[in-house]
Amino acid sequence: MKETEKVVPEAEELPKAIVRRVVKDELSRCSDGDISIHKDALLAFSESARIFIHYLSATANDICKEARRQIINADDVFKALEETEYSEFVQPLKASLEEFRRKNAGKKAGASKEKEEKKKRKLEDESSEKDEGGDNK
Amino acid sequence: MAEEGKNSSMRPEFPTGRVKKIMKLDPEVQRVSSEALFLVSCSTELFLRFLAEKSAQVAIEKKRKTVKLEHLRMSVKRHQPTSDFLLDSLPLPSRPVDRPTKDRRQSGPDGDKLPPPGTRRIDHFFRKPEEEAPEPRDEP
Repeated sequence: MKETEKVVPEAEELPKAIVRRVVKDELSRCSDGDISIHKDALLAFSESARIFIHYLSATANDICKEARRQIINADDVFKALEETEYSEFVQPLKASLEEFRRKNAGKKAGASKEKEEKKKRKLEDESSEKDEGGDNK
Repeated sequence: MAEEGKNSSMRPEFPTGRVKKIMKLDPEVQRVSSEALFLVSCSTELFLRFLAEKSAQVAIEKKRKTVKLEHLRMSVKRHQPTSDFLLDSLPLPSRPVDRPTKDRRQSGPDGDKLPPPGTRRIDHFFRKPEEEAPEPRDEP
C-alpha cells in the first residue's frame, strides 16, 4: 500500500521557485551576477536537496534510535551533520537555533505565564481563606 | 568564514511542512521535534548553497556563464562526502557528452551504471549505515 518514491507527486518535492531563488542568490554572490543556471541543472539541484534531506534525516534517525529515544531532536541533527561530514554547517546552524529557541520561548512563556498566574491566584485565594479561619503557628 | 555580510542566523526558505513530508517518506523516520525540523530545513538550504557555489566555480573554470548539469556533476565528484550519497543519483547528461573537457578520468557514459566498489549506494542510508566506517567492511 505504500507508494515507492518514484511515484511521488510534486507535493513531496521542494518548491521549484524556492530552489531557484536560493541557487540564483548564491550564484550571484559567487560571480557578481554573471552566472545563470540551466533548467536541467535546476532540476538536479532540487533533486539533490531532496536526497540530502533523506540522507540527513536517516542519519539523525539512527542516532536517535541508538540513544533509545523516539523523537529526533536538534542534537541528533548536529551529530548527523558531523557524521556525514558537513560539520561546517554546525556553527551557523547553532546560531540560528538560538534565535529559533528565543522566538519560541517568547511564545511559550506567554502561554505558560497565564497558567502560572491562574495557579497563583488560586493559591492566594485558598491561603487567604485559611488565614481567616484561624492562626496556624 | 563566519561573517560574509550575512546574518549568522537564518530563517529557512523552505516550507517546513514540505520538508517534513519528504523526511517522512522514509518509513523509519517517525517523530521529529520542531527544532530538528528547523535544523534540517536550514541544513538543506546550506547544502543547496554549497552545491551552487561549487558548481559555479566549475562553470567559471570552464569559462561558461551558465551552470549546467555537468558542472554540478563535477562539483559533486570533487567533494567526497557529497559524492558518497549523491553521485549515483544525479541524472546523466541527456545526450552523449562531446567531452569538451580533456579530463579522461571521467567515467564514460556506461561507466556510471556500475558504481565502483567502495561507493555507497543512495539507498544505503535507508538501511542501517555502518558505524563511521569510511570503507565498507564485511563484519564476521
